[in-house]
Amino acid sequence: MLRNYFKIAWRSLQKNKLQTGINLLGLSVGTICCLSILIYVFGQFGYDDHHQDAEALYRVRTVITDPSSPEFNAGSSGPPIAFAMKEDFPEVIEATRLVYLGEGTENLIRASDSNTGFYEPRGYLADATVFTIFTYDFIEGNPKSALEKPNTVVLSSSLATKLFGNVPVLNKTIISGSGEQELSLTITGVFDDSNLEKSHLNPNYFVTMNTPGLGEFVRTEQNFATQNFIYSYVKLNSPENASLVQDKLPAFLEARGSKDFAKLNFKKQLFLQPVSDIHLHSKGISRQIGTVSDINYLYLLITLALFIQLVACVNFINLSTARANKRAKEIGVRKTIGADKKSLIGQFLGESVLLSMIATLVSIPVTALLLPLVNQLTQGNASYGAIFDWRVLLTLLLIGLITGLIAGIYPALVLSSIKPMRVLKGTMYTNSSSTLLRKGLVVFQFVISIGLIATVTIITKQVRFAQNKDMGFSKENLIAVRLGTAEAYNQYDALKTNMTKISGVKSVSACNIFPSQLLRSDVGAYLEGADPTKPALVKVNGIHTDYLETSDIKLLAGRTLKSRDSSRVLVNKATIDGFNINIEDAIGTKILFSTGGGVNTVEIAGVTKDFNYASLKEEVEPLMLYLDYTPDWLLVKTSTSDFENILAQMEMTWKETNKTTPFVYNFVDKETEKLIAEEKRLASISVIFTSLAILISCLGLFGLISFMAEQKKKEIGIRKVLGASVSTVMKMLTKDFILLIIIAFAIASPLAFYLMENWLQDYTYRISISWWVFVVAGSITTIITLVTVSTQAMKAATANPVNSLRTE
Amino acid sequence: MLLKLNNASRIVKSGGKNITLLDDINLAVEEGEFISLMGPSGSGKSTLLNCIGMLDSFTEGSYSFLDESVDGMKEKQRSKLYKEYIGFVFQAYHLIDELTVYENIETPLLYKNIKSSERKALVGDVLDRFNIVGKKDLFPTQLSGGQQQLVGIARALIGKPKLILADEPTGNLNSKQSEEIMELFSSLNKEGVTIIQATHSEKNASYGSRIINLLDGNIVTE
Repeated sequence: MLRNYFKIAWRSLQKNKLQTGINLLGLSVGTICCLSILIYVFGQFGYDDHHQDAEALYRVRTVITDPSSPEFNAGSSGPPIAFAMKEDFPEVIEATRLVYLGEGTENLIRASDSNTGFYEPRGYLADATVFTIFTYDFIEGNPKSALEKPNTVVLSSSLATKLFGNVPVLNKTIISGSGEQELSLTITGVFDDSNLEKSHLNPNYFVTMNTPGLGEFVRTEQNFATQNFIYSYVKLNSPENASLVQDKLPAFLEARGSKDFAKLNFKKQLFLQPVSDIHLHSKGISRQIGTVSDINYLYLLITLALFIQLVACVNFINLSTARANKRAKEIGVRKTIGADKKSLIGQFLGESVLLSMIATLVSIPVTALLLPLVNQLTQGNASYGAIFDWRVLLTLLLIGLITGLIAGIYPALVLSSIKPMRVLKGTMYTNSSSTLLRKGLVVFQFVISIGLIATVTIITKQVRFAQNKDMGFSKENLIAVRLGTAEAYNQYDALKTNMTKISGVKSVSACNIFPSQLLRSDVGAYLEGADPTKPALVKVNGIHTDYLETSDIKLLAGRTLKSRDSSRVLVNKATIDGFNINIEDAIGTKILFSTGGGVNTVEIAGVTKDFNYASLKEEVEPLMLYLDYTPDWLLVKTSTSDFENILAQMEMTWKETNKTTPFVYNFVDKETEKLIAEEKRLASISVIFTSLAILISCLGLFGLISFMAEQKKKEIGIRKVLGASVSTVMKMLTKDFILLIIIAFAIASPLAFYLMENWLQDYTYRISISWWVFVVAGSITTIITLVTVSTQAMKAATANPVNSLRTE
Repeated sequence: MLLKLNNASRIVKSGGKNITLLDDINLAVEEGEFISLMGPSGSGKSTLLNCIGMLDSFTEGSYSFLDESVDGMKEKQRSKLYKEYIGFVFQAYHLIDELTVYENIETPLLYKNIKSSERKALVGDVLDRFNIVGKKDLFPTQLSGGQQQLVGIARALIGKPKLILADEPTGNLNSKQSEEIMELFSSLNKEGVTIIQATHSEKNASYGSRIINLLDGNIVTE
């Protein structure tokens, strides 16, 4: 029987080539979208599950609420917390801390016997317990004891190979940093990183916390309130105790840090976050290591893909029920020769399932071909192997099956309930409830089209807004060169003088963090005479002379910093607003803040306009710029964009003073672009999905109108004989669709408005949604529909009525 | 007794008015009869056939088939009954265009869940008997009208029905083809199959053993 169903299904599909073609194209496109998204989504799961007892590992994260500044919700925490938890809670069986050495701030590393250094990303300072919490496959050395001794380092196998070649490296030494911070580190282990991308740490090397400088600071710092820049991890004896430990954290913080909190006016809370949740469930948590994904983003992608599939299903339903008449005879005959409803339903479901299975088969090679594009769009790195992952294939098979059933069940019910008598007698079969449903489904397709067009327009507008937004500094023609070593920054003055001489270079300065980089450092500052227990958080960045000129930041009052202004600072407008001082009174005002060494006093020399360092999602925060004599980045403003020539000269100049430090540079505008990469990606994905949804809907409309014109051939013929003009016939065939578009417009506009308003909420700097977006979306849909429908309607309207009437 | 109608009527509502399609029909059919229903268009021939075939139902009176009352039966039981005992032949043949001759004849057996080997044998026999073995892989549209009707009859016969209901079986055929079909009916009847046909043609009616004339839903003469 089953074979028979499929045989009939196959023949019936072959017979109605237009219908089959439309359905197959639609379902294939839908399935390809689903498969592409599946590959990406499956790739986003399974992060950090390679660690032993992965489910018992937790990160301690921090939320600080301070009435005077935005909430601080970070993945990081303070230095003494992790090990204090181990001491206080029996449930905590191990603890470790990591300091992320950052991107753009990493130390230069070289083999001790080589002069070629590299800025290596993804480095960490780590407690010796790190490898009892996180599991890495050691090729050399012993994970248990690797980082116990002072000045030891564990490298990834790829870094070891990069520095030393393919030789054993145990007990060899590397040099990290330069000048006073130069460290000679002994390699005590190498771990295999050939298969390690799925980890939020994605480590390149671990330096023991048992080092001077930052390591020593973390080891000795005992303040439970501040310095929340390190990453704390704990291992529990059982994941079931997580809520128990969580409940004890407020009392723990109170007991351990009450005297630290007494000096400050903010409230701090600690939370346990499962390590395996970090990659997908970190929405709203800042200060992540590297980039994390967001499960909502995955849901969004899945929803979009399912929409495409649904639009294709709608085509199937519409075309099948519209053609019910054509099949009515077959159904009538089958019933008289013994078919019951069940077997007919089976037969029609056979058709839809066969079709969706063909689409499923088609989707595999096509997706494989499109994989590079898919990866580019999703920023994924799926390989061909990912398609043939059994979970992906099984899900795909299920999707194919369910699609077939969803598309087929309604037509099957409609078709199988046709009464044989009626058909065999020759009475035309019409089913008003399925006509109504068909109209409803067409409205659904229009809603999707109008909604998606509006959505895409709004996302694109926001992206363009972000790109063109006056950030408060000029990012064009601005090059940042890394001054990562003492060799480089100690000769900064000479370098600056030489660089300025290059023709095309307009201005040269330096800073610690260049615009578009994440500013992490801040201090708790208060005005002279104010209550020192109520400081406000102010971000800090070290700069050098000519900084404002080089980055085109406007000075509102006072003057810029000169080379001897070591106790003067520049602040942005947000800072004086925060302190409630007038711009006229700001110059000369003294600001106090404490660092490890005691209380510092600085004087405001100038106030700058607010400028946006990072994402438009965040408000401009108070910022203090101080003179740093060991800056990290050289900033070069050029007057032309002929970079090839200028960069070549800059590199030559660089090499005159730098023997071991490599010439590494970034274009600030390109780095700034990266800040809106997510939005841009979302925009391009939406554009693709929208185009596909519209394409598939159009195909369906085309099929539907062809069928309608065919069905109304006789009516049209008679009307024309009676004197109807081409335009009245056209109107007759298209007016229904226009009505449906109007209904769809009324549904789609508020829906899209609500969703996009929600999306835009995340942005501090955002566009407002204008009404014309929806008018445009409606108009585009109307035009596309009319074009699609008109071609067929025209054919029917201009046909010679003699022909259609004679053939009747 | 194969079937018996007592005061059977079919009255339908159309546009708020009652229309009597069949009026108080009394009819008894014995196994082995070959009955021709005659009468002008609209006299109720097809309606009577369809009601006997259980595709439609009488609205009044009683109908018993093989001494079993059909009136109170549910749709499912009814369709089981006609599947088992009745074969239909149509004026417009009503073959399934997507299926070959072989598959058209085989389909009723599929719906009866008969095993593949048995199906093969049964279909083979019928093809042989109707002399259409050479055409078994052709599709209906590749056949002449007479050949299509032959396939239609073969399909009606494959389930070994007791009764064949034929609604103007030769209405679309020329006289030579008509004759062949009627000869076939007549030989089937001799083998014991009961046949009721609706026809306009006196000549076709003469093949039967009994003629019933209908007018406006009434049996006028027998």
